[in-house]
Amino acid sequence: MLQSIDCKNKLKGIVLYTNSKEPVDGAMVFVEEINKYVLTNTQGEFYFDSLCTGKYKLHVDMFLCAHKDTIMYLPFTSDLIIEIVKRVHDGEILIEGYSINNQPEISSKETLEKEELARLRGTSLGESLKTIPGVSALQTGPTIFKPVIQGMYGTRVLIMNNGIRQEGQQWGNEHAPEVDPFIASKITVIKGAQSIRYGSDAIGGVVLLEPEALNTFRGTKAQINLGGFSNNRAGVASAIIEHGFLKIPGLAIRLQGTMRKGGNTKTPDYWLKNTGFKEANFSLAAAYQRNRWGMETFYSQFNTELGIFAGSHIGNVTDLINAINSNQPAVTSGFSYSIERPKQIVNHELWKNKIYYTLGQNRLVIEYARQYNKRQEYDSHKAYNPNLPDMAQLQFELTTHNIQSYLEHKIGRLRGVAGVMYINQSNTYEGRYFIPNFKSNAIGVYITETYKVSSKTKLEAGLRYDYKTVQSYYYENNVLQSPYRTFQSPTVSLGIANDLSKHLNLQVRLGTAFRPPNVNELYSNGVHHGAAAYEIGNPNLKSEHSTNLSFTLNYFFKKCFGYIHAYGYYFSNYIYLKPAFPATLTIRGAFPTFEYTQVKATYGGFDIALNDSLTKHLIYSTRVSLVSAYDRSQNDWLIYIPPTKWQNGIKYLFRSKGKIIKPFVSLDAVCVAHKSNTPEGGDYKVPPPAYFLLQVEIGTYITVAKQDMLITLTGQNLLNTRYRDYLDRFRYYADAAGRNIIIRLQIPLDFIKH
Amino acid sequence: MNNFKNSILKSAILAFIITALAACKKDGDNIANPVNPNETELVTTVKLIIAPTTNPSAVMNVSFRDMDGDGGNAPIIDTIRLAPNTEYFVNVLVLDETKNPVDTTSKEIETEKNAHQFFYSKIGTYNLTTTYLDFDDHNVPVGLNVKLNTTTGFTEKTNKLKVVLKHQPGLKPSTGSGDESLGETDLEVYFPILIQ
Repeated sequence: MLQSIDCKNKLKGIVLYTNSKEPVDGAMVFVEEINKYVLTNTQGEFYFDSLCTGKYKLHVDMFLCAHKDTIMYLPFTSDLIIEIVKRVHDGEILIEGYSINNQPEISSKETLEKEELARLRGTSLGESLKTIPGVSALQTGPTIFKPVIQGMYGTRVLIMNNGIRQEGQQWGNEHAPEVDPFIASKITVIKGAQSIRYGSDAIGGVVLLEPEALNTFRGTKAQINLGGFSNNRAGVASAIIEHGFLKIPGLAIRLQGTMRKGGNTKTPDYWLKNTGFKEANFSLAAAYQRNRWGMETFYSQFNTELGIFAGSHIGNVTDLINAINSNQPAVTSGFSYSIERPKQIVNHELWKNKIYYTLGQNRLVIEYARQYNKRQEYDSHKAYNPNLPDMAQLQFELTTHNIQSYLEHKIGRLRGVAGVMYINQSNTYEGRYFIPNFKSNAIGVYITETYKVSSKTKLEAGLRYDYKTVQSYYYENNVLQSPYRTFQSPTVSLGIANDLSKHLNLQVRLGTAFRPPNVNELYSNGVHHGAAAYEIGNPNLKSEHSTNLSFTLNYFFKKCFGYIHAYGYYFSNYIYLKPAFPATLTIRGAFPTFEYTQVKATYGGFDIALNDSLTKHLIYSTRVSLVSAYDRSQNDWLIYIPPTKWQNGIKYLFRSKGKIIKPFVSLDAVCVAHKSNTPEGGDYKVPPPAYFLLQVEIGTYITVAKQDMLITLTGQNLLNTRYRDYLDRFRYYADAAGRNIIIRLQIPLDFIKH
Repeated sequence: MNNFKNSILKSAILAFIITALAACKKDGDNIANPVNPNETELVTTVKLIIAPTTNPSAVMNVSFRDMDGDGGNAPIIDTIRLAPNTEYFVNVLVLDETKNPVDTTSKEIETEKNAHQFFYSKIGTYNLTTTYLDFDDHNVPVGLNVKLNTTTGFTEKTNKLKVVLKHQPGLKPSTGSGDESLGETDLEVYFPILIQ
């Protein structure tokens, strides 16, 4: 009798968004004790009846919101009000009204997401980023792209994959980043040195790949991306599926996979033999969220096999001169998907774990990640001895452990991040010697704070200290060498952002950066095949230091917005490969010899972007980027600095009609100038002439079965222009790719909608 | 109930972590003991075995030898010394002398003769003719065995004989006498030559 009275409690509650205080329609309210859930109505209200007296734990989950749980005691006579936090952007965490995305506040950054990113899907990371002003790609033929930011690449550019520094074999110019761009729903490029937060060596800039935050709302959501490329008859398929558990509030998992396969690329006149690729990647993620804390685990694998254009693998200098002097490669072929020697096989694995705890306006994060990278390079000639297996001539295996912890905090007008990062690396090689085995330990401690002086002005200051040890092992004249080096330096950064007027915002940053020499710069010794050069490391190299200054003026007039970004770097001890004499005499002839050396160098450049809505339907955009780099020690220009690029685009947006939503057509023209400031006699071939490429795209969303599919059709190099790019190493041997017609389809499968 | 749910959750997370750990690939190599590069295949030596056709027992061995591979110590190169107005047989050996027993790579070149060819050329102005004596399956020269014919001698010490081995898989012509501009250079050595 008493029992039945006790179990007649009613509960009425309202769920509101913290940000707007608007009611939440369709939020899931789960009562742990009775293992039942209800959904809120359009007023955000929910009801339970027949609840017994006592303690209950309620969990609230909503699409695009952070998980929320609350404890209450029945009987409870008034309405229960539960507020939940909606994420403003993917990947950002809102803490009591202010957002944290662990990115510097004063910086020049550009983001690719949603439609913009969907239109670039299916290409490699380096290729997708080329549309951003100030970003270009150092290319090795049609399949290998390394991002170049403000004229810098390789170990001077950092890639953050899901919050973890990508640790692959980034020292080689023909080594593309080992990441699947489909993992990310948002790709951000932060231009300029970002030493404090991401590591002192991020001198040129940082590429952030961020997956969409896992959604703990009940149910299943999926997305399929398909792409077809006419030029190399490539196909790409990627799928992502995520699920929020109904009976375990706060738990969500995601599965993602990508397959890419392509054959030989065609220039306007001939096929490039052996330029096919095949790639298979997957990732798993799980997140568990509570009110104050949460944990995440993420595992991904990247596996690729890339053919290297047969005409580019050079036995010696005579071969290189032969290749340069012939207008067309001696090796041509028809179309084929087969990948033969020379080729690369690259595997990359990342396993990341994260735990965070929020307390008031502060959040503590602890992360551990393990990365394993295996790189195999096959020469065009397999071993003469038939008893030796058909194996790679070069193999590197790099294992990296990364432990980091940081505290995001807000005290009055001051907010910032303080953290510590530890990296342990070990590398081994098999086959021909190029870089040594090594063990390395690095620790970095940093703090960066932003002070809001007024509603118009913000100040940012950061300080970091790094310490790194490198123990290498290699043979010299059959004697094992094991040199040990240590590197350390402080890094500082200062920034100011000021709203000059309603229309103008000016940011000025001044900072230092330092980069310990990489092992290849210290100890490499051997013939670099594609480059037909004998490269010798310099074990006495010191750390590279730079001072950098940048100005960014963002402007927003009525229908017109954009920015002007100007930057300069002043390097002492800039590390680069300098020609050395005499040439190295080998059994394959004499090779020009290059030794790593340090000089004083200066980089300077600017990027300009402008978007103007000419009418309601017509948008014009223009982007210019220019960079120069000078060696002050030898009074000469530095090699491989991007030529000036000017992109112009016009986009027409049609009216949506029925199931056809936001259809558009766009026309883009890219002009790349001849590179004039190049070192004298430092290159085998003079820089190629200027070129002009035309691209047309049409696209639309189509509503099919309540899902908004995005379909685009793109024609790249529409005029089938013959051209060679200064930053493409294949410019010595062959033209760049000809016309390419691309069809892309993005199909969301949202089973959460009701 | 709560315990049951927690245990499901815990086992799910545990299963995930175990899967991830088991899937992690490991580098089995010893960091402190790198592979000595000389243990893999290396071509150290190009040896010309030269004998006058009239006196096959008067053998001369002339070598280009780079025992430590690319870089390091400079190669040791012998001089070819020939008499005027004489015909010589030449047999080419390509060796890896770091192996015990010495690995004779030229045997494999012989096996892959349809994808390889040696080319001989004079650096400097002097009289010497080279004639191929061996041919592949398409009757295109290979050049492991050649004949050298000298006429007048000279006193300059700057003349050289250039010996090149090209690897031409799928590229080697199937008619004629070969094309040096094709393929990848496997060997390129220069021997100082004296005809006195």
